[in-house]
Amino acid sequence: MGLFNREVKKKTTNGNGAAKGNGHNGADGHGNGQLPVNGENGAELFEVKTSQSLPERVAEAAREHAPYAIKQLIPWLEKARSSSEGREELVEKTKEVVWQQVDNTTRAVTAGMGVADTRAFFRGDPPIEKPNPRYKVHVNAFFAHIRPKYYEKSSTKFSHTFALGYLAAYMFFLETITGVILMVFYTPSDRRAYEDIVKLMSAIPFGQLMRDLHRVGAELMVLIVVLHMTRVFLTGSFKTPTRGFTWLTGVILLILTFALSFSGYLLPWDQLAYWAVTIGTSMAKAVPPREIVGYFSNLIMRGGDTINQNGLLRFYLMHVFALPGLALVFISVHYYRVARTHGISIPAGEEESPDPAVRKAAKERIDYLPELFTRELLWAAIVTFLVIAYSAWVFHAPLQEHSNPQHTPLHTTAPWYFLWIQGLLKDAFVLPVIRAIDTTIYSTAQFIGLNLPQGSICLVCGYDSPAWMGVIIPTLIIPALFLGVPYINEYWEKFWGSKPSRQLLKNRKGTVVVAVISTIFMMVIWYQGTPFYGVTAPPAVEVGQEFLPEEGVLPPVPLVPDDWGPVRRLGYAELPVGKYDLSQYVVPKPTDTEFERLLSAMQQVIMQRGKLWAEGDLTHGLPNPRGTFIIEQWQQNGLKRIDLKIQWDKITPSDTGVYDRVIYLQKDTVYK
Amino acid sequence: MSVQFKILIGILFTVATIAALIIYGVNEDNRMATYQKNFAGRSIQAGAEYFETYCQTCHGDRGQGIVGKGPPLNRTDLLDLKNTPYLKAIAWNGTTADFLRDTIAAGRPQFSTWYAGENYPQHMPTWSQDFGGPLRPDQIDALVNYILNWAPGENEPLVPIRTPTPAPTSTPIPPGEIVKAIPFPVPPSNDILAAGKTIYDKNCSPCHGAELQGNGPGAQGLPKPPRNFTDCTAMQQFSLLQHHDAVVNGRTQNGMPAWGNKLSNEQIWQVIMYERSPCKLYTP
Repeated sequence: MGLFNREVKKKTTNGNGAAKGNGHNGADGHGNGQLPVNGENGAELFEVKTSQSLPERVAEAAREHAPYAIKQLIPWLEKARSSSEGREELVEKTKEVVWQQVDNTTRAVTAGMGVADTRAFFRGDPPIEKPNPRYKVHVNAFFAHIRPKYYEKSSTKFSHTFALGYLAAYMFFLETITGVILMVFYTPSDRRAYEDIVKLMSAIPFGQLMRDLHRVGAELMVLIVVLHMTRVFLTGSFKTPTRGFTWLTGVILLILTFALSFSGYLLPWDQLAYWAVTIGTSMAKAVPPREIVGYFSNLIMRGGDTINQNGLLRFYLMHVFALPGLALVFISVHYYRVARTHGISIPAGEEESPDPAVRKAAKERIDYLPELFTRELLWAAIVTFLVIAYSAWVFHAPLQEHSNPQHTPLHTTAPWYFLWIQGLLKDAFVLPVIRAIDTTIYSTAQFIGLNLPQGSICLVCGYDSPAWMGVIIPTLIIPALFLGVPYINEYWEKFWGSKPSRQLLKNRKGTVVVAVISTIFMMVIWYQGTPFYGVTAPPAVEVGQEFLPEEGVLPPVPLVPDDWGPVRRLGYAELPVGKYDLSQYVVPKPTDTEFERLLSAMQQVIMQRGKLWAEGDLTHGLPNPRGTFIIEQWQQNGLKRIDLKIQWDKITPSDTGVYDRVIYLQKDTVYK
Repeated sequence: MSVQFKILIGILFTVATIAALIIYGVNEDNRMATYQKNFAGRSIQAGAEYFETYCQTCHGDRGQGIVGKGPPLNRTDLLDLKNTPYLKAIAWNGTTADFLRDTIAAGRPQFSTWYAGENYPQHMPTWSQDFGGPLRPDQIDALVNYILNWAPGENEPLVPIRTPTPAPTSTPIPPGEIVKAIPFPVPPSNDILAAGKTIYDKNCSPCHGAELQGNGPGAQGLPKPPRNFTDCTAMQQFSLLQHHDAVVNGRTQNGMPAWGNKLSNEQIWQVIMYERSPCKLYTP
């Protein structure tokens, strides 16, 4: 309708003018003259110029309303009607206009690059237009504007950074995406949490994959962040005044990564989760003064004496809301400083090279678009594939039995990245040294005649408590050593008047020594945190634990599937009903079935305990131990009761001389 | 590495990722079914453990029931899931699983008319934490799954109703023998008390309570409340010999079973020493 309206309006204006004015009539070539003006019902609006044929009218309308691109073609269209030359010109013009259109659209989509430049971009050719349209992308597009236009060439060497910062950020996004999906199926309630996880795994397509990805990503993120920090430390990239603060935000991100991973541990609400977090939070209980700070920090974290519904909700909110929010803020600051304030460091050897040509070459520019952009996408594609393949076929996030506050599993531990604190808590490595120093000071004071009351000189008052080992030493190490590294270093260099240098092997020999010693120290206390060290369970219980472990034991290393012991791995079908005297299976025969080999393995371990006793090891040995392995069909519908009975000569009159480790095994369970 | 090469490798990996997801996805239905059975099985296993801790003292280790303590659970009228004769008889409209869950959770406030002629003097106590018991909902579900696992499969014949096994008879020990049987240093060592606690927690705590105060969940409905071992005035009247006799021969009229045939002599002494530890009354 609009089409006619306009035509008609124009016409009526003319007509009215004519009527009122010079009386000229039909001057516009409309042969049928003017229709009477009817102002009352507006019929003149529908007046049709009957002098024009329909195609003409359509053509006129098209001329007026056509898109800009077609309008451009109109003169050529008219030319093409009359001559063949015109037609060729029209073809040429059409090509030009179409190209222009495509080019404009491409510029809009790529935020600045035309077709030719986009092609050059993907071919890795230099930019065509000037000024460089790729820089325009950095101005126009949000995500590109976050990234720098170019880097210094040497700073992007893989052997310098190992892309660890990029990978850490990748893991953060992987965790966010999979985490949001998992949130859909999860309720933070002590009654539903475990059931929800079982449902997620057994009734939601790709539910297990999402959970595995989330777990793999979390473990990798901790690993990568630690490695990233180690790299920055070793290459001296925290040096120079502006980088100190970046290092500081990085240390905060390390702590946040630990906290994020740790808070997520509780959410499946199984025995693993419950006891790993109970151990972790009990460290907070030890902060002195325990009656005030320890008590309240524990209360605030757990929401009660033990972890319950309150604690679960708190950990959940920390995990999905508070910590990711904080992490996002610090990631932004950390990244902004790297991208805009000082850039990635270049290798020390090149930066401090005496050859100016090397120094210059190192600082050569390498554009983000397309070189580094495609490199990042390639990394993302490779890592995504590896992570998905690993979670799909190698590693599955553990889920053990429902949490049971009444039953602490034997050998339960904190998560692997807190094992070093647990090692410190075992009081085996550092404390004897500190105590020895303390005693020396005390006895020296006595020797020179100062009769001091006991405990008036002590390096670590209250060192028997977990406070020092579990809380104060870790919390002193983190701020004092890690947060302060760049600043301590600066004053250290000033103090000794040494020229600041980042070359590790050449100019930072002290750093190498400190790094090696602290790595060894960390490995040792980490090992001490594992159940392999300083365990006090009775020997028979240990034997039972080796073959039929209690549920709730974490592997002490990341990304390793959890272990259920050889009996459960063998499975229901492979365990024939019967009563087996293990002394019949001392020597494994080549014809033995897997079950018989397992019986031999048990007998070997039991005999080993007997040997230890004979050698005088009264803690780990057992006098004359005998084992019986009893398998009963407990229910006809596929349930067997499995009992590893270990008997030994009574050590004391009150000793029972017998230990039973009993599990039940159902036919459909899978422990592989 | 040229840009084109990076793009090529990147596309290959993306295609590989999609292929991996498709291969994984094809098997999803099987995997979910296996997982469901796996965790149903684990629930039954857990139920078996809880049954051993909480239920077998009254209902027998295989649910066969104990005369004078608890009726059999492993019986056809209850576990005939198709015809449900028992549920019909007591006019229960829900499923057998619902019936078991509710009975375990909320107990039996009244004696069952089904067993009117038989001797079951004890009430089923409430076991759910919602009603003052010790069990969480998931534990009750596990017990239900375990009990239902006694039901025969689709094509299996129903086993005949099992009659409850009689309660173990005990042989009285003359008092002189008892004194001879005390092989322990008095006061007892920590080892003895620890061993006693293990036996106590498994066998005695359901009625006598985890804190030795005679207020365990099994105490409800007993003719006489179980002894409170922390009440030292009463304990001073309760000699070591009387204590031993009560454990060995039981006080069946009060609901205390005889342990003489179930525990070894040493185990009995260990548990007695543990029970007497709150008041430190170790001498005869």
